[in-house]
Formats: sequence, C-alpha cells, structure tokens
Amino acid sequence: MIYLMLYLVFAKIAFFAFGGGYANLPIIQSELLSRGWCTIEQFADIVAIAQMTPGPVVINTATYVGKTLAGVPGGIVATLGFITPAVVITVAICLLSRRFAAVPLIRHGIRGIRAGVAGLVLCAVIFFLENSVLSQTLHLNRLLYDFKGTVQGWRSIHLVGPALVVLVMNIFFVKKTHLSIYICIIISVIIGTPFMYAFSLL
Amino acid sequence: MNRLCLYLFCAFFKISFFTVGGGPVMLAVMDQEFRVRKKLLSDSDMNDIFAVIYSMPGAIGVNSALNIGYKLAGRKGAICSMAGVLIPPVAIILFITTFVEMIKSSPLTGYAFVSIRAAVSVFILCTVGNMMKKTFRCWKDVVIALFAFLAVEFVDIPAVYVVAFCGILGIFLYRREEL
Repeated sequence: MIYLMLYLVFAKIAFFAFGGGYANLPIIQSELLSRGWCTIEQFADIVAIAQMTPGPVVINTATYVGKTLAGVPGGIVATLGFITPAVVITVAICLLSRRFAAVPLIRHGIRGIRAGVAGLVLCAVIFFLENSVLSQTLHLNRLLYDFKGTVQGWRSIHLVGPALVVLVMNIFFVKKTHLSIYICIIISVIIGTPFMYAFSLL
Repeated sequence: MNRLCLYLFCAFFKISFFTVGGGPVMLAVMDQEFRVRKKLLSDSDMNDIFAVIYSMPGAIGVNSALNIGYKLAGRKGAICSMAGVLIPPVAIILFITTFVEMIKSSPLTGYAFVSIRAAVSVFILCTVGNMMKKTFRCWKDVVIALFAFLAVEFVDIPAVYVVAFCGILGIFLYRREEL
C-alpha cells in the first residue's frame, strides 16, 4: 500500500511543480513533512545529496525519499509517480499542437512565454553564482521591504577567490576554445578542489 | 530511425550522468549537444522547446528529454530519451544512500561542488545569451523577459504564475503583429 501512496503523492507534487528544480523544493518539503515521511533535518540532507548527484534535482529527491521509506521498489515507484504528469501533458501537447499552432492567440502567448523563459533562466544563473562565487546569498527578494537590513547584510558578502578563478577559466574555455561542457566540468573539479582546499588552510 | 533512438538514449544518458545541479544546467548541455554540435535543432526549435518545458509541470530534465525526443524521433524517441535521462540518477541514488554519511562529511566534495557550480553558471549564462539573441526582436520581448526576471528574483512569485502571466502579456502585446 505504501507503494501506491508514494506513487500518488509524488504524482500530485509533480502536477503542481512548475518552473523546475529549486522552485519546487518547498512544495515537496511541506508534503513530506505533513505526512511525517521525514523530518526537516532529513529533508535538508536529502536535498543536499540530490544537488550533489547527477540528474534532475527533483528526480533525485523523489528516488531518495522512496528508497528510504520503502526500499528499492519504493524509489522506483516514487520516480515513476513524479514523471507521470509530465508524460501525460507532453502527449496531450503533441496531439493538440498541430491543431492549435496556427491559432494567432496561442502563437502570441507562446512568444510571450519564450521571452519570459529567458528571464527565468537568468534567475538560475544568479542562483549558481550565489552558491559558488559569492560567500552568501544576496536575498534580492528581501530588497523591497527590508532595504536597510539587506544593504547592511551585503557588506558581509565577499567573493570566494578560488571559485572566481574557476569562473574566469570557464569564461576563457567558452570564448576561446571548443571544449565540450563535460571536459570543462572535469577540468574545473580537478583544478578547483585542491585550490579551494589550499585556500581554506590559509 | 532506430539509430536515432539509440543516439538519443546515449546522448541523454550522458547528459544526465554528467550534469550535477539539475534542470537549468541540463538545458545548457542539451543546447550545446543538439543545437551547436549536432545541429539537429534550429535556434527557433530550441527556443520553442524551452518555452514548452517551462510551461509544463515536473522536472525540467525529464520534460526536455520528452520534448526533444518526440521532436526528433516521435514516440519512440521520447521513450528512449526519457529512459536515458532517468536511469543514471535513479541508479546512482539507489546505490548512494549507503554511503551518504561519507559523502556529506568530506569537505573535499563540498569544494568540488562549488567548482562545478562556478563553471556551470558560465554555461547557463551562455545559453541565456543565445536565447536572448534569438527571441528579442523588439522592445516588447525585453519587457516580458525583464518582468519575469524581476518577479522571480525580487518578489518571489512562483514560476507558474510568472509563465502564465508572460503568456497573457504576449497575447496582449503582440496582438497587432504578424508572426
């Protein structure tokens, strides 16, 4: 019965999970905590591991929770639950798109979303910068009602030197070489890790 | 047809296996793989796919595999791509839960992941730059993108409302234009 519950709960989460990855972690958190499936500390650990391992963060989270609750089959069932809404919706879009693509209203809407997505992906860039090159997050969302406090908080933000070196190195790779992203990531890890370790000893 | 499906499976397997950090990173890698290197998708195909992915619920990585797979090789392609994208993370997580404490406590893994995030921010920025170059054709596009960015970054509005409002803005702003 736990398998059916896992499947349904993760299908429900996925159905409301718009905007991908980090935007959805609060929904997953409240759903899991309210069912007593994990504690807040366990959830923080799960998210940390999900971010460290390859693949979509939310898929990793689903597999991890399923595995801890009901073993290997649980992990697989939770993952299947999470992908179900996406599969159903994609099939529906693909069946309908030929008929609707010609409607001007839909095309104007899609053009608006195309432009908006550029802005959304830019937010992801800031997220990754905050978690590497900057020593803490910027809390831009607090800027509106908490202006003074945020500005004072900003004084304590400093740049992380070794991460900045890796960043500049990758700008060079992208601009001047045609290395694939995989090679760039591997080089970054090989150079960045010892560099940061040495920096932490200073 | 079958060779294309096999290629899709392998490509998505590789993408999923090597991208730490989730959806946005995968978008950057997929953009490089399918548009820049293999030239299977045009700029406008890629931007349409990005728009669809962000208007759909679920994991960005899985949604993009489904859509790109379907676009390139139909139903079979979608299934192969999705299998490719799902197998590495599920297998790794099922395997890794045994060693969680070891991984968490080592500072070296932390440093490695900071390096990866620093590198990845550059790749995503390139993807955004290319998206902007191709989608920004007049001031209205810039206004919508700026709205989406400010709404999520400064006001914390959930992405689903932002995407829906961008669609409505598009219908309103472009209504006199021929597309």
